[in-house]
Amino acid sequence: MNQEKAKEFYSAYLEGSLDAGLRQSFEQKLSTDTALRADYDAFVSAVTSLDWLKAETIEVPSYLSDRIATRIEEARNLKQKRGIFGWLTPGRWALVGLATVAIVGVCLSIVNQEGRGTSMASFFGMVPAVTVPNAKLIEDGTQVSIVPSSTQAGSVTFDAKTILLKSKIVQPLKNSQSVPDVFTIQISGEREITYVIVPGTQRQPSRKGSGTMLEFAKALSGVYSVPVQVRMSDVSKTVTWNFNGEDPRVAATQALDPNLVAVDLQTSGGVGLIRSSYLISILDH
Amino acid sequence: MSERFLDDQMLISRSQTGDQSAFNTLIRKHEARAYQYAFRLTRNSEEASDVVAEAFVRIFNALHNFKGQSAFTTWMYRILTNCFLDIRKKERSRPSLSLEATLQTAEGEIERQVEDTARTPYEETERNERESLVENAVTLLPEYQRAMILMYHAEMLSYEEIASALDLPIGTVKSRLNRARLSLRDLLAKNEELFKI
Repeated sequence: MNQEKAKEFYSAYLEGSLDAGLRQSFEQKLSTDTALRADYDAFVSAVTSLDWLKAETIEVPSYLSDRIATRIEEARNLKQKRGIFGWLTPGRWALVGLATVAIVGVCLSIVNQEGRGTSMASFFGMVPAVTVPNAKLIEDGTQVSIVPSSTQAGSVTFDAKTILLKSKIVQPLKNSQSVPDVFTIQISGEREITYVIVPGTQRQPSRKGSGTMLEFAKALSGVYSVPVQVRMSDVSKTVTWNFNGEDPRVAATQALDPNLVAVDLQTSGGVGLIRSSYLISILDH
Repeated sequence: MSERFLDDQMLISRSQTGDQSAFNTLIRKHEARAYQYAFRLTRNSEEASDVVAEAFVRIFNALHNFKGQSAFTTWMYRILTNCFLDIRKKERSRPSLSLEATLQTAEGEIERQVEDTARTPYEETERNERESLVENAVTLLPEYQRAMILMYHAEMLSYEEIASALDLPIGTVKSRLNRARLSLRDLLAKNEELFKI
């Protein structure tokens, strides 16, 4: 046993947790190596000197409770504000973004990740229509959906009033591919982009993988056939997953660090463009 | 101890259903302990208060995800440690403030004043010299090592609790704590040299 190796055992020896064979070797080394002995004694002295920490009296400042209460109240108010518009944008980004839209008449941009088309429209503003080019409308009784046009021609227009009334658009973002597709929603004035992943027509079998947050969200959407919305400051963060069970919220929560990311089940999202029995919302703190 | 744990579980369950009073009780129950740990990490009451406030906001935002697989306090230590490390990281990326800097106000130029939160010379002499050396050495440790030393020696967490708080295997906790102690030993030896008469 050399000196460097012996140092790895200092704590275990001090605590009496070294197994018999190692303890014998270590003690033999201590008895024959005076430099090691001195080094170990200094180590014990340093560790023993930490005992005073246990007895140290630390006064809690009188302003602490108020500071905590103020910060929690701010967090609570922010959560409540974001929930006021209910079905339209229940996520944490929604109300702040829409309030901005209402006040300054900014534009909504919907961009399909595959570049199928973009259009600009204002919610509550002067031009209330949203147009998705290279797409077509399918009406079936009371249900209306927007699907990509196979001929890359034509466009679909719907207005904010229609969305607000919930009466005509049920699931305007629709994906007819077999695999999940990613839509990007950006509200002017908002730094963060919202990604909405729409499941494909076929469930994806692979429950294990690793990749960026968007790849994770696509995998989750594919395995559980559930819409997923993601709003994070950095979607390029990497994560490893192994989805277990049939509950997508539980599966997502197990893969992600709850200190950094919140996973919620919501009944609508994507700025009202996803209407489903539920969707998974992944937001960072 | 287990009864205290059950109380936390009850408060958490009620908080998760939206009971604000339960959450406030949970905070009041743990804020002193949280502050003491944060103060030991930072040795600055203002910074420690910020760490604690930020930690409880994160707890508020993430409580609905808390499954109770570990004790609430273990989870709290994890969040406190992360808040401390995050705040320190942000400070390192910020441009440093010159003590000579002046401020322009409506009344003219005034010198920037920085509050000195260090102990007075009188307070220092009252403390055991050895304790001062140890406290100084702990503050000089890399932040992660400091957190581990404090969790074990000051907060009296077990290896298992530290492993759970830092999401590390127990073997890793033991070897890193040993390394932290070795670093502390080296720092103390250096400091004592400086103070030898």
